[in-house]
Amino acid sequence: MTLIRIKNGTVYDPANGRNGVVMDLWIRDASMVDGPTPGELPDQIIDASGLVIMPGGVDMHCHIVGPKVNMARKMRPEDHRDAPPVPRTAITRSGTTGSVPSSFATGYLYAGLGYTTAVDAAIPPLSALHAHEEFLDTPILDKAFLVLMGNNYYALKALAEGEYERARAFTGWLLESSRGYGIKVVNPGGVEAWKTGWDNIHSLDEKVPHLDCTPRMILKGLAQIAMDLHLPHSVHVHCNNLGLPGNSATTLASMEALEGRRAHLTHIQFHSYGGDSNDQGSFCSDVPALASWINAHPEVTVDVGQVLFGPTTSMTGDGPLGYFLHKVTGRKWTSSDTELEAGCGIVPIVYKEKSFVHGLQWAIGLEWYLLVNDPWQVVMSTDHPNGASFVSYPEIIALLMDKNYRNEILKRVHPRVRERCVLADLDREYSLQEIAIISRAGPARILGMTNKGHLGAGADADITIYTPDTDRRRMFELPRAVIKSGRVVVDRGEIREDILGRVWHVRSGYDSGVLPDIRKWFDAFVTVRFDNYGVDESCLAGMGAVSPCAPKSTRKGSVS
Amino acid sequence: MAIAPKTDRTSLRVVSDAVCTFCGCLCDDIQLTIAGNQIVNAENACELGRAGYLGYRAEPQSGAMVHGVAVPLEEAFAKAAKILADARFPIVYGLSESVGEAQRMAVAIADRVGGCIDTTAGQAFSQSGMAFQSVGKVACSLGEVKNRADLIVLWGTNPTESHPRHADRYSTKASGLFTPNGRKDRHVVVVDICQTASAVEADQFLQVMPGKDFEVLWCLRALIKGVVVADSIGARTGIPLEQLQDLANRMRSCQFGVLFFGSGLSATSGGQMNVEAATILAQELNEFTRFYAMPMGELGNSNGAENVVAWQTGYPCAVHLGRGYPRYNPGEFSVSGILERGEADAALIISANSVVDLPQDALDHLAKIPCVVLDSTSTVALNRATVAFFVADYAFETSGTVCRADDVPLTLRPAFDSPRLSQTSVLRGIDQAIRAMGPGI
Repeated sequence: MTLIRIKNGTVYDPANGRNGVVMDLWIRDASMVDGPTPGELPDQIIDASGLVIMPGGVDMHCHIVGPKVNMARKMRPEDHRDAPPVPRTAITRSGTTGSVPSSFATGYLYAGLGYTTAVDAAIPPLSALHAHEEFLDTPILDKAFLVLMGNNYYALKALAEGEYERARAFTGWLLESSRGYGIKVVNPGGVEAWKTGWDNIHSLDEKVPHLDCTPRMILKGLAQIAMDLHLPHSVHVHCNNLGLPGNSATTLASMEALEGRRAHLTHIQFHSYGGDSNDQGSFCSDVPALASWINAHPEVTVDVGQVLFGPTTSMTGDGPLGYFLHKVTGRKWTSSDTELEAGCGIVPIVYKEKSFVHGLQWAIGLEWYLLVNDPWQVVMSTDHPNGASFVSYPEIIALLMDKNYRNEILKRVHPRVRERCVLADLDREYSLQEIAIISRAGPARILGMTNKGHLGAGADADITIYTPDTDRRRMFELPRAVIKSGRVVVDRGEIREDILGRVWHVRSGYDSGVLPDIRKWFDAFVTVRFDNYGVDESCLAGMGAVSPCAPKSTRKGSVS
Repeated sequence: MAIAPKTDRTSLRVVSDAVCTFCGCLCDDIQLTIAGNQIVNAENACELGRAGYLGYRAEPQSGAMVHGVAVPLEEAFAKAAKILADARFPIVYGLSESVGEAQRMAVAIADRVGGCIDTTAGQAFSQSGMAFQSVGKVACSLGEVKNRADLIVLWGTNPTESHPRHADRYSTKASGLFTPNGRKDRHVVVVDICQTASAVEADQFLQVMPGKDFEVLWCLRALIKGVVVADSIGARTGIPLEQLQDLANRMRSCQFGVLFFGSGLSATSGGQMNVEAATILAQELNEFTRFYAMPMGELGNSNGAENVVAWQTGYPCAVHLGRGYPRYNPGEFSVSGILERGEADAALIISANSVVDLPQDALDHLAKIPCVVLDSTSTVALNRATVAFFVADYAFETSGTVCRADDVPLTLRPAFDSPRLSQTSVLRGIDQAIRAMGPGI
C-alpha cells in the first residue's frame, strides 16, 4: 500500500466541479482517495505548489494499432526516416516517430503529452487479435478499441430482415469475442457498396446492394443496440460522404435519423462542408448550422478531427474514401478489405497552408470548438493521424486559448478561407477548465469510462501536472510530471517508469440463442472457423479490464 | 475461443480446428487424431498437411548445450546473453517459424543489444515489400475472394501443387455469398512460363515468355486505358495481342477480380518491378470495378514476422538498432549482406531452417562467429552452435499467433505439450539474462 500526497496543486477537475482549486490530492496505490486514514502519513509527497493539475488526457478517437496502422508503417518508411527517432534507454524501448509512430514510441509520446488513455477507433473484428498484440507493445496508456460494424454483412442482413433482436445479440457476441469496447460505424453501407463494385453510397435512404437496408436503418439500428446493450459508449459514427463539398446535408440527415438516440459523431470537421459536390470552388463551412443542431441535442456528441498543416498519413476504414484521396493526391495507395466486415484505405497526404481547401478544413475544425456551447459535447481530436498527429494537441490548445494567435494564422492561409467561414468573427477563448473538459473529462464521460477523466475518490490515479505558462503550447507540450495508475511515469519529459496499461473491453451479455446461426454463417462464408475467431482472454496477458455495461443511471452513480 | 484441452491419456485424443502450417494457406479446420505421441489422422488436411502431420516424430533431445555439451538452462541463458551483449555487431535472424510472441521477444533482444534484426521474409520482401513501399497495394482477406470474385488470375503461381486447398477454401472453387456455384461462377486465367497443373484446371492459360511478365502487365495497363498496342507484343512476350485484349476486357468488366501472384512473378529478376506493375494495374482497374493484386503467401510465419518488426520498429525487415534507434536499409542491413561482408560478430538464429537459403559466403562467415541457435530438432546448425537450445516445435507443439498472407491472425492449437521450452520462453530467458548484466547494456 502506497499513499501519495500531491500538495497544493491548482486542480482543474471539471467532473467534480473543481475549477482551479488549490488543494491536496491523495493517491492510494493506483486510485484516488479522499485522504489518509486518521493519523496516516503519506509515503511520498509531491509538491505541486504553483503547478496546474488535470486528470490524465483521454484520446477517444485515434488510430494506433491493428492491420491498417501497421500497413501504413510498412508502406511509409520515409515517414519514419524523416522524423526524429526515439532512442532506447536503460528502461525504455527504441522506436520511430512520424505520423505513424512505432508501438512503443506511441505509448511514450502520448504519456509525454500527459495522455494516459487512448481508444483506437477502427478495428475489424477479424483482426482483433492483432490489435491486442500490438496493445501489449504500446506501453503506459490504458487502451480500448471500437469494432467496425457499419458494413458488417451479418449485422446489415439482420437489420435488413427486420431481425433487430438477432442483430443485437450478434453485436453483443462480436464485442465480447473480439474484446472490443464499442460499436464503430464507418460510412454505413458505403463500404459494402464499394466492395460490390459501386463507387459509394451517397444518401441515407439509398439501398445497400443486395440488401434491403439503408444507412438510415444501420444508424438507427446500431444506435439502439448500443443503448439496449447498455454499452458504456454510444454508437460512434463516421458519417457517409466524408470530405465531399456539400456533405453537411448528409451529416444533418444522419443526426436527424438518430431520432433522439444517443450517438457520437466523429471527426465532424470532415463532414461539415457546404457547397456543391461537383464544384470544389463552392466549398464552404457549414459549421454554424450543424453546431446549432448539436447545441439543441444534448444526446449527441462530437469530436473534431482537427486538420493541422504539414505532412501526415490518411488512414480510414472507409475504402472508397481511400480511393478518392488516391485520385485527388496522386500518392501511393493501400486498400485492404476484410471479408464481410470492413474496408480500409491508406494514402499519404500533406495539408498545406496555402491550399484553399486545407485552410478551410483547418478553420472548420476550429469553428466546431468555438460554436458548440457546451464543451462537454465537443472533444479535441485530430483523428490521429488523419488530420494531424496527436502530438499536435498542444497546438490546438494554443489556438483555442488565444484568439490573437488564431487570427495570425488565419491571415496566413489562403485568402478565400476567410470569406467561406465565420472563424474571423469568433472571439471565444477557451479557459483551462474548458481545455480540461475537451481533452479528458468530456471524452471519458462520453466513453462511459467512469474511472477516467476525473480525480474524485475511486478514479484511476492518472494525473498530469503542468507548469503554468502564458505560452500555452509550451505548457501543454512538456508536462512537469505525468502519473499513471499512481506511478510517476514521466518527469519533465523523461520516461521514468515503463509500465503496461490495461485494455478495456465490454461484456454486455447477449442472447446465446444466436450462436448456432452465427456458426452457420461462419461455416458458409468466413474463411476462419467459428471456434478460431475471437480473442482468448490469455491473449490480453493479464492486462484485460471489463468496463461495466449497466443502465446509464446506475452507472452514473460511481462518478460524483 | 478456447484452446482445446490436452490430456495425457494414451487413448485417442482429438484436436479440432487446428491451424496447419505446412503451406501458405494456414487452413484452420484440421482435425487431428492423436494416439500417444503419434498423429494418426489429420482430417481435412491436404497431401502436404497429412505428410507433415503424420510424419511427426517426437524429438528425443531437450535442454541446452554450450559447445555441444549439455548444460543447465540458466547457464545457457547467461552464456547466450554474454555473447550477444558483448558483441559489437550482433544479428538476430529467422522468425519465420515463430509465433508472434517469440517474434516480439526477438525484436526486444535486438533492441537491447543494439543489433540488426532481419526476417527470412527479408529476401522476398526486397521484391514485393519494396513494391508496396513504392506504390501501395490493393488487397483483401481471402474471404472476400471466396464470396465475391468472378475473375481470378493466377500469375507465376501453381497453387494446385503449392497451396493444395487454396482453390477449395479461398479462391477458384470456393462457393460464397455471391458465388454460390463456386467454380462455375468464376473465370480463371493462369499466366505462367509453362503449363502447370493449375494451368490445366484454368479456363484460360496464357504462356508468357520467361522474363516478359512486366511487358505483359504494362500492356494490360495500356489496353485497359484504351491505348492502341502494336501486334508485335505477341512476338515479344509470347502472348498474342487478341488474348491480351480479351483478358483486359474481362478485367474491366468483371464484378470483382483478383490477381494472385507467386514467386514466378515476384522472385524473378526485376521482381519488384513486376509486383509494382501488377499492383498499379489492379489500382487502375478500380476506376471500373473492384480489383485486387496480392501474393499467394509463403510457407511459415514470415508475414507475421514482418508485422511484428514493423510495429515495434516502424520498419518491416533489415532494421539496424546499433545506434540506439531503428534504421532501415534493405541490402545494407539485410542479414545476408551483413554476413557476406563479414560484419557481424555474433548471431542469434531462431530456427535453423532460416539459414539454409543464405548465400555460401554468408554461411561461411556464420561458421566463424559465435552463434546462439534455437531449433526443435538436431540440425547441423544447432550442433555447431556455441549455445544451442532445443525448443518446442513450431508446427506441433506451440501455441501462439501466426499471420496468414492476407494479414488474418490465427492461433495455433498444438497437438502435443512439449518437454522443451517454447521459443518465447528461451528468448525471454536470454533477455532477462542480458538485463541482469546491468543497465549499461
